[in-house]
Amino acid sequence: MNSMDPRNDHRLAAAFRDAVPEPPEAGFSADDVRRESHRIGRRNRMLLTGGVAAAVIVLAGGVTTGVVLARDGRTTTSAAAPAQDSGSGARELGAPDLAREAAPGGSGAAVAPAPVGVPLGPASGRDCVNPQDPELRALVDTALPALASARQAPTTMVCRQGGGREVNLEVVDGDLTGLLSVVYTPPGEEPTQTAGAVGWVMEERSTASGGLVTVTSRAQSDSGGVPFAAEVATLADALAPRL
Amino acid sequence: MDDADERAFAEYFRARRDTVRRTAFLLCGDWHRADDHAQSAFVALHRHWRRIRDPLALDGWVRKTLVRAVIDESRRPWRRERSTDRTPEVAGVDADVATRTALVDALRSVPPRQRAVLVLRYLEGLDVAGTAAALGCSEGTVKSQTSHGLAALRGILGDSLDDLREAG
Repeated sequence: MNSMDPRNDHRLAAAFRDAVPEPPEAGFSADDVRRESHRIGRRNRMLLTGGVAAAVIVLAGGVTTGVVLARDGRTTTSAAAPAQDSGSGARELGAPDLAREAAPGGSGAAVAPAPVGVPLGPASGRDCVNPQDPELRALVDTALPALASARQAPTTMVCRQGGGREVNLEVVDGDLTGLLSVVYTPPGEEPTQTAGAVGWVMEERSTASGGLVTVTSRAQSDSGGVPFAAEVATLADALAPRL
Repeated sequence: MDDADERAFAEYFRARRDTVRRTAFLLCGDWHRADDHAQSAFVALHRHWRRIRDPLALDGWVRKTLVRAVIDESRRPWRRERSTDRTPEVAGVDADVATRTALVDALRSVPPRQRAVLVLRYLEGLDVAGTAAALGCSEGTVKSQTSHGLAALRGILGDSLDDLREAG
């Protein structure tokens, strides 16, 4: 090749333009765009409200715990002491760290799902979101046992901070194969996923901790069906009160 | 958005939808995914419509959103692209169609960022500075990615790429 200066590459530019065939009928309209935009706007407002509510609950719980302990004469710490210092009270306030640390097997091992009524809530102690969160996986396997044997999908670490959780699975549903992901977005964080036009099934639910759980199933190829398409909503319903 | 904004958005959408879809197609090589990405870019535009004061900046804003979404998606597990040593099959079809198909297939074998640079420069006609702005990288990176991307294309298309370039 004689030159690497793209300004001289008129024929190559023409070839790029010609490479795009006449597009098929579009899979979305301006109305679809408006609806999706408004849906995301509502979702974000809901998350913001949920985040503020969760923060108020945690703050009120911390103050209450401090006051109770001070009245019992068992402590002289400030009335606004963090709720995590109060043992079992922390679980009731949605802080799962103590039980997690006591769980056998440690990080990456099979983990028992959190009891019903105690939301798992945001992850903590990690700089980046774990794309294969063992505690979330335990909840997923309990909610939809057909996924218990699913292999973890290979992932590229994209460092998102903020206490989120993810599970990404290679799934087989009869003849259908694909990838199923469960993403928990904690209160106050911006969800990163939006719905696609074709080959996806996605459901979102507000969670007990004020966050958002998004369950997405994608066909392995655009021509195939979506695995577990009928179970996506059920899975989201089952996970919402536990997260 | 108020009614006037909605009308302005609808007008822009009508004028630019297929152009954005075409760019998305070359970036990902698949019309279904191209529509997903184009729709997401327009949704993002709708959400930010009132904050983009300069109408002349709309194309650049959508282009940047689209390209970054395609590159981000290529890193996600459900769409992570796999390299292949399969040579595109072009025999037995019309020469123009064969060339077109071969170029699209070859682009799919180029790493996503290099592919984005090539599409922005050759399909969109952006210069180095404009491409760097769209991708959020330095001009030096654009130049090196262009060089690597063309080398990758040449590795697949062979002399037919050189014929196109030298005839310019």
